[in-house]
Amino acid sequence: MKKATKPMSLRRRESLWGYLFISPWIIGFVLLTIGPMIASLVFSFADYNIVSPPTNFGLSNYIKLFTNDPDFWHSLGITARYAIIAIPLNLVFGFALAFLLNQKVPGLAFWRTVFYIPSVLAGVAVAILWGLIFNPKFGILNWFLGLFGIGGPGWLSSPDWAVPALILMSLWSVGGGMIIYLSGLQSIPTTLYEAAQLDGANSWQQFFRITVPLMSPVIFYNLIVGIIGTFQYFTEVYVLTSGLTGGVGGPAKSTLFYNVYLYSNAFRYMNMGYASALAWVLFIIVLLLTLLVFRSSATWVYYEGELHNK
Amino acid sequence: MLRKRLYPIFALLMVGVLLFSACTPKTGGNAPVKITIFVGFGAGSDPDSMEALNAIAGEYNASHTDIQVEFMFSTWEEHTSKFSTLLAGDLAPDLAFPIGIQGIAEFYDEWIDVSTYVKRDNYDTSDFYGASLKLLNFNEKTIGLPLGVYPSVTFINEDLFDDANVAYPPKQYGDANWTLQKMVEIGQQMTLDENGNNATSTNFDPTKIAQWGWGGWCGPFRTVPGKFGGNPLGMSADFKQAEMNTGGYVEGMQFLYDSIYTSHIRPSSVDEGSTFTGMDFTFESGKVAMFECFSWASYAFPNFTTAGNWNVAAVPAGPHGDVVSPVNADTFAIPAHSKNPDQAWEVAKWLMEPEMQNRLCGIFGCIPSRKSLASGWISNMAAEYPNVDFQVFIDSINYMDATPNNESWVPNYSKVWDATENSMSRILSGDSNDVQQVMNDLQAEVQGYLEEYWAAHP
Repeated sequence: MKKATKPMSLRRRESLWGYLFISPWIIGFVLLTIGPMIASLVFSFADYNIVSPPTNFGLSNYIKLFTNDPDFWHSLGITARYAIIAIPLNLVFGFALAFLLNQKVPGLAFWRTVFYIPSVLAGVAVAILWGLIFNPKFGILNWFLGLFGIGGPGWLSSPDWAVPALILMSLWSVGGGMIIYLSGLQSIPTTLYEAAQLDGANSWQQFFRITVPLMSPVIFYNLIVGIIGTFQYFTEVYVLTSGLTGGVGGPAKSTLFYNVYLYSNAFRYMNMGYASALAWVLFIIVLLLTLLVFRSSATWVYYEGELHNK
Repeated sequence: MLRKRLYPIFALLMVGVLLFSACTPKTGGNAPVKITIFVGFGAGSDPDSMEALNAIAGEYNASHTDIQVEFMFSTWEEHTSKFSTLLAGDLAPDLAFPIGIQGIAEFYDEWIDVSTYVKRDNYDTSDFYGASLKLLNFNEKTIGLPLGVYPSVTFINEDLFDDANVAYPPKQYGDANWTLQKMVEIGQQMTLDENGNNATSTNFDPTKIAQWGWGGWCGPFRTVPGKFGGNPLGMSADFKQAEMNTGGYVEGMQFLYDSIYTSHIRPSSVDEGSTFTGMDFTFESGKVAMFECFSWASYAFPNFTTAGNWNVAAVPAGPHGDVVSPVNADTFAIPAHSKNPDQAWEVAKWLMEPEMQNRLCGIFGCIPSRKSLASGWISNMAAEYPNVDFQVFIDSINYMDATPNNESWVPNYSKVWDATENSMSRILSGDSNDVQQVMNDLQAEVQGYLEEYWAAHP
């Protein structure tokens, strides 16, 4: 006698359908993200030139990286130098811009749009545009400096000015952070300012005692995103320096950012194993920095909810 | 209820079946062999060339039933990653074409030796320039047959020479007076500041140069030392000891430095990045009197013409009497991973036939490697540029740096390439004024790459 099958409960059926619907993402995530990550971790311990199977498994890539590769330290130094200047600069500019655009000024929507639009445009097109702006003879930047009697440098062709030029260029996308700051500023209850005014607080006191503390979670978020983004810096350098004497990372290795060096190892030198080791070291560095910032957040990030729960 | 439960399973099965059928290779009884030709190692991937090559493929396919060809295009920037990915995915193309010495060196172990085919078919190579054949021999392995060569010549802006009332450099090789030293002398006469003073004048202002006498050599670092008696390899014959901080290397780079900062005849790379923006060659500006470049600069000839009346002259002799015309070359190469090397060879032979070679060189801008095609090439070029003496290009072939070539294989090829180019950029940009120190740094870096290579290839 055939045993009757027990009907599936509604919950189980819904779960099954749920898994089915999210399966494209899960399959994609496993095959295209987790899979390659695990593969790159394995490759990082081997000599792997893409064409032949990986060989010589061991720690040699990591040992060489830390003990016998000046370009690793050089590229890390350039990236760190860029990050140390560009991240705070972007945080301050983004915040200042948002603060200004949170005031009651005529044409507010227009100005917000104007400052936000550049952050929507990114990548190759923007790099080419900035290549023109930086042109020492015909570029608008040196023309502007010339109005004040300043002879602008050869921004991208000079080893001394290439990184400062890229830092300047990073301000182009400050509108992305600005929009997040703006939403944060608008969520600060006006009652706090009114109360402060009644207590006799001046504008600076209101700014540093109310605005900044209440905006600290947004600053914290933008800082984390900024650190991650800065250590992934690649496209702009690649586009702007690939046509220069000395090639990508030039002139004179002055723009050999970490990811540019990683890319060269992977796709120019065919050292995919070594490039994988570089990628994992980068991952660890970014992870440590992020954890450090998270750990420090207890001392400077103010969460209203946290206070209420105490 | 059962039907409802079966739907997801049925859907998954369908997806699986579709994926499986899409990934299963098609087989056929007497289907023609498809030869995939990878284009991206050099010329050929601009829209006009792609169209012309696809037309050639169409002609081949219309006249052959056993083999069909298909071009696969890649940009220069992506060629390394795309080609290596194809190899890794067991999807190796059957031919790389056109490919230069650099492309061959980048994938040095990947090409088969075609000498067995040459011998088997008793292929007649007598029509090729001898040096162009030598270019394709690598440690007794023959990679391909020469399609075309790109020798270097000195381009001159005759209008600027006429304005300065200075005699043109000689077109004929063998003129003992045509040396780099003489070129500097002429270059200084042709270099003018904004007030019209030339570089020999005491009133000359090197901070306000309006016209340069010389635009430099357009080739990479390793084209330089040969002119100063150095070996383009930059290392010992066994590739174990770097030799880049002595002799022709230091002398050549010092010449380059002096040409910018002492005689002022050449723009620095900072000047190049400003005054000459948007141009592939400074010569296109009409503000440069002479420069030396490969014949592949032919794609910019229309711009040269816009800049003024131009012509070509012989390459000057170096300080030790060496007359070296750096050369690039195009050939084909058959990947070792090709599944159809025999058919690839047949296609390659067809591409190397005189008529096709003529046509392909017309597309890529090379000078056909067959001696018999030289006069035809000159006539074709002269029809377009009647003022230019194209015989000089042909004469330059006799002075090319074939063995070793400036692009010849060295261990850790791309790393050495980047290191040498970076060193040259330090000098061209003014990042360092101590040439010996720059070359010492390069020596140490390249030696490190050689040791790294030999440690991995004992």
